[in-house]
Parts: sequence; C-alpha cells; structure tokens
Amino acid sequence: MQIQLNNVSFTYEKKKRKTTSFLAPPVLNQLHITIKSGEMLAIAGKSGSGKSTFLQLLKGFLAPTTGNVLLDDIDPNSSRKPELFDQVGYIFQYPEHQLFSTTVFDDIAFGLQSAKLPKEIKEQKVRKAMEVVQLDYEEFKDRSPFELSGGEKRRVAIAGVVVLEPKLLILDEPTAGLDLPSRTALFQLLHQMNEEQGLTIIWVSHQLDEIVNHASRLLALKNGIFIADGSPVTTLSDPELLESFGWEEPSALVVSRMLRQFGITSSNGKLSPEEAADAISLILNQQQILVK
Amino acid sequence: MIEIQNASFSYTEWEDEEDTQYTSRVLHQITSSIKPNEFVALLGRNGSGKSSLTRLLNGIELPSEGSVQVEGRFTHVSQSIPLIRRAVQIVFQNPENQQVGMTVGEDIAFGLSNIGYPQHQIQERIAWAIDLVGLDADEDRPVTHLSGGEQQKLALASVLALSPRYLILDEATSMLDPVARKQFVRTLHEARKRQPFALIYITHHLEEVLEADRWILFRNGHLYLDGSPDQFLTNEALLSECGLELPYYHALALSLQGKGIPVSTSLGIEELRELLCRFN
Repeated sequence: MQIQLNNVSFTYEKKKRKTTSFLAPPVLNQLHITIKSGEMLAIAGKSGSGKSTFLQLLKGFLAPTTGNVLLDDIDPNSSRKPELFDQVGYIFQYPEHQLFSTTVFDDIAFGLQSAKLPKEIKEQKVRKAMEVVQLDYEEFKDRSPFELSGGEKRRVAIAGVVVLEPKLLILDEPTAGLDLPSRTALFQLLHQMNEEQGLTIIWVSHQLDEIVNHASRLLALKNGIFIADGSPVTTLSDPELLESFGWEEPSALVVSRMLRQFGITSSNGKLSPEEAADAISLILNQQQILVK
Repeated sequence: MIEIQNASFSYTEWEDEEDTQYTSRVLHQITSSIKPNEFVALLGRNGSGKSSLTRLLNGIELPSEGSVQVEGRFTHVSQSIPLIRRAVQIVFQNPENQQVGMTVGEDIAFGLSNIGYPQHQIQERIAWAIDLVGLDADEDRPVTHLSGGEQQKLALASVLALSPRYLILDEATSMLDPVARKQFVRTLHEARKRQPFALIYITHHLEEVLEADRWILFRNGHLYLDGSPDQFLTNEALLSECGLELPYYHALALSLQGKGIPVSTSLGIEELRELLCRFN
C-alpha cells in the first residue's frame, strides 16, 4: 500500500470559532512524505516527538487538523471511506497484554467475527495467519495463549492482526522486552511478510542497531517534524543528526567508516564484526607485517 | 547478604473441567548468594527464570522447596516480610505501572508513609530523593507530565528513598530511548556511589552490565553458570546458547584475536585506529 501525506499538521486542541485564533503548538507540523508500497520503514524519535500521533493518523484513529492522508491515492477521511483504514494492521506495544481468549484459535479469529464467515473459511484464514507467524496450527490452536512463552504470545497477537490481511502493518516497538532469539525470529517474520506478500511495514524502534540491520528507510522525528529521511546507514552516520538526537553512532557504522577511510574496504554499507575482522586480517596479511 | 539455598519454584494451575492439578516448575534448585553492595547481572532467555528468582528475593513469592534468606531472615517467616520488602526493592519495565501518586512528591511519599517514615521528615526525604536521581522536576509536577525516562527516574527515586540494601532492576531500561537509557544507567551508578546498595540487574543487553562484578546465566529455570564478565566475554558460543549477543567491539576483538591479530579484549575505536595506523 502506498501512503502519502500532504502537508499534514495535527494539534490536539480544536480551534474555537469565536475565540481569537489560539491553537496549541502542533504535535505534527506540515509533514509531506510518500511511503511506497513494500517499504521496510523504521521510525525513531524521543517519547513526545509525535511518533504515535503520526502512526494513529495512518490507521485513522485520528484525522489530520490540516492537510490530508492518502492511502493508495484515496483520502479515506474526506471521501468517507473509513473502511480503507481496515487495510492497515496496527500492533500496539506489548500486544500480548491484549490476549484474552481461552484458546489461541479464538484469539486470532476474534477480528473475523463481524465478517460472519463460514466456519471453513474462518479456519482457513486462521491457519494461514498462524503459518505466516510460524506457529504450528495443530500444536497451538487449542492451547491457552497464557501458557506460551513471551515470543510465542507476541506472535499470536501479530497473527490476530495478520488474519485480517492488511496491506500495511504498523508495529509500535515490536521487540521491546524480547530476548535476542525472539527478536531475530520476529524480524525474519517481518522480512518474509514484506518480501513474499509485499506488505508495507512501518515500525517504531529505539534500537539503532536494529534499524541499521533491518530498515530500508529511516524517518527520524523531532518536535513533530521529520528531520531525517533516508537510508539508515547514511542517516545514522550523520554527525549533525546524531548530535541533535543525542544518539551515539552504532558501532558497526563507526568501524565500517574507519575501514573505508583506511582503504581496507570499499563496502558502503555496514560490516558485521566478522566481516570487519576478515577485511582487517586480509590487509595485514598482504602487507606481511604481522608480528607474531 | 542474600542467601538462596536449593530454592525451587513451581506454579500450580487447576484445570477446572478435569479437576486435576498441574504444576510447572520454573526454577530448579537454585543455590547462590548476593553480597552487600555487589553488582550482579541476571542473564538468559525470556522464561529462563530470571524474574521468577527476583520475586523470591523479596518474598513476593515463596520457594516451593528450599529457602531464601535476606540478612539472616527467612522469607517464609511472615513476621520478617516487612523488613525484607524494605531491604529488597524492585523497579520494573514499565514506569507507568509503578506510579501510585498524582504528583512526583506524592509518588515518593507513598512508600515512605507505608514504612512509617516520620511525617515531619518526609518532605525533606522527597527533596533528597529527587536530587539523588537528578530528576529535573519539583515535587508538585504531575507524573503525567514526565517523559518515559523521567518516569523511570521517579520510580528509582521512590524506591531509593526507602534506603534499600538490594535493588532489583527487571529490564528497567527496555522501554527507554537510547539517550534516556544511558542517562538512567549513569544516574543509577552515581546514586550507588552516594548511597551504596547491591544491584541485581536483569537485561538482554550485555553492554549495560560490562561493569558488573558477576554475571549469572540462566537456562530453562536452572542456574547455568556464575562468573566474572571476563570469563564469559570470550565465549561467544556459550552466550548465544543463553540468547545473548556480544557487544560489537567485543565480537570484533574476539574475531581478530582468532586470526592471530594482537588486540585487547576491551578493544575500542582508538585502539583499532592505532592498529591500522601502525600498519598503514
């Protein structure tokens, strides 16, 4: 799904007709961007920078004060087609806190209720959603979501959104509180949905390493304005940007850049520790000056 | 001193329809101790038993077998519980779940009134605690006006006001942005200098606990290994078995050492630059 924001501003205070035109400072200020179908987009910024407000506009929880939001070239707000927002899947922080049914199946199928689908179709959809999040249907469908591990619970919660077949998936800090293997598995899942189903994925992250490793594009939000928009490797090596957020450049980028400066690598991306060590040892061996 | 002797812990669940009882054991015969003023990191995968153990330490839960003693008092002796709870405090992941007051001052005062802190000294103590954590807010500030990082500092101030001997942080930084995270960790260590206490730190991020005296690794409810960070930092396979990832520079140092390139384990950007300059 392609998303377009045209001069979007948002303020929580409504302008009153008779008072002098006092408006609270906007939470979002004249945002103008296009997010193409199939992007893996990370959003970063401090709490209070407007991230959540921005995401809520995309899901139609809020409508812009001025400007408009277009989903595949249609403005659901002005054209009175709020059902378009149904194509946006929204996964809140700690989504597993919202699990409530006695079985995994019921929890995932809950969102399908109002569609009044025949039993077989419903089962088919749940089966497919569970396949997408890599939970074995037979093994998990009758289990209580509450007895699963943290990573599994989160996957059930994600399946409950995926079952509605969204075209855009929004996740608010999806890896908070997960251990490394669960984080790795979650991103494998997101990449797979992104590549195989062409799902556009937008997620909020506080982990710069995670952004460098997984995003195709980074939007950095400060005081309601995008102050950076581009490839994570480029933006997160920009000293001015890092300074303005008080961020520390991810180690992978620092080392990769130094190796480029020394002519040890020509890669423009970021090197893993092993790749960096390989490149260094290669050059030192070539010069044959390794002191034993 | 906290002494954990052969402590096991199981959750018991009843299956209504069949009227049968299930127990799932989440901790298996843990024996360990935590000394005053020590900095101990508890590490391991989600569900490996870290948080369950911390709940035994201040008597929120009692071991199903074995025992836990805090400063010589057993947690299963109910008269000891108030003293133990005061000695062992916890800060959790989500600051919003830990707030009890409408304002910064009320939030800190709540715990103090509960332990019977002299009324006329509470005001002074609030100011002391705010200063200790470097919270840039006066006591009348509504808690809802604080940022995530400030809220977590407030949670810290509220427990430190009670002068705990042991402080447990259960992934207390996982909801903070990188800047707030760094500030929180700095605040914590500065506070420890002014008012020493043992720190029991649960995290998935090793870079936050490189300074710890000990790392305890959990696996499937068992205390798997207990040692100094240096012992583990050279063993990538072992860490990954426990779901942990070496910080970038440590992984790079290990890789380089493996190729016979002489670098220190605490390799940093300056050392790397020197190495490259020397050979260039």
